[in-house]
Amino acid sequence: MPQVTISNTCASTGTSGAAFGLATTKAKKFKDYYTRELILGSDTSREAFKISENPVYAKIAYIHIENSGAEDAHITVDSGGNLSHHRLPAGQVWEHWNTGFWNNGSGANPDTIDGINVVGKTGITETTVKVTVFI
Amino acid sequence: MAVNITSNYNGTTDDGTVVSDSVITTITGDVNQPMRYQCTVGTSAEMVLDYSTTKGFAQAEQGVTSYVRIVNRDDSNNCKIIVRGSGGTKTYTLILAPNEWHTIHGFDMSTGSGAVPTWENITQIDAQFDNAPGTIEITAINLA
Repeated sequence: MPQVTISNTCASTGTSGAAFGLATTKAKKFKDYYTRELILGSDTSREAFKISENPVYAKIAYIHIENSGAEDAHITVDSGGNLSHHRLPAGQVWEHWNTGFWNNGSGANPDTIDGINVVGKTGITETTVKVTVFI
Repeated sequence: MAVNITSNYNGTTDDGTVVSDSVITTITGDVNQPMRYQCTVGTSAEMVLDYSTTKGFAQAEQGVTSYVRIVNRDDSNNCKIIVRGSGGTKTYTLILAPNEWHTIHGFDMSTGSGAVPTWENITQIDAQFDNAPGTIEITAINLA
């Protein structure tokens, strides 16, 4: 059975070092999901998830990141080596369907998402985000 | 708190008719009704986010930043979404398949790099269908 592996090297409380395997028979069936709550410290980048290798990242269907804490969080999207930065205010949600094209500047040569990091706001002790990835 | 959104729609239909329109929508509540725009082939329906008001869509303020949800309402064609920042040089691009959506916050564009970069406002969102006419839907949420 084809499988996409979503890894997570986040070192915050309760989330260290784990790797996850989500099985799917076809890409983007939207039948399984991975979810994780991350605690973010000031200026400390956490790996929300990273797709193991090309081309299995295409099996990712949908990404949902909720900032359930009281402070802003920042999202960094890695697509083909290009980083796209996004702000996620407290209490709000960032959503993206992984249709396959995303980058931070070139509409002519877009890429898919390879991984996403999240980071807490400077000077803030911590905030919490909930990351859900559907395949 | 009112927020103005100006929608500029320019293009040519399949029979050669030139279409040009500009609509200003003012949001005074928390959530605006969804607005739908028909896009012709290969042209863009531009969503200009006007933050000239006292507390506009893109004004950066922690905890009260507004956002939009943009949906591809076409049943068969992908739609390219181009998001532009206030600095005039930064953009990011994504593709929405039929009936997919994406949320875009008003203060959502990095001008630098690193874990905590410098931010700039979103000023314009373009939608483009390359193969056939299609409809996009934009819902603006004003949390200010």
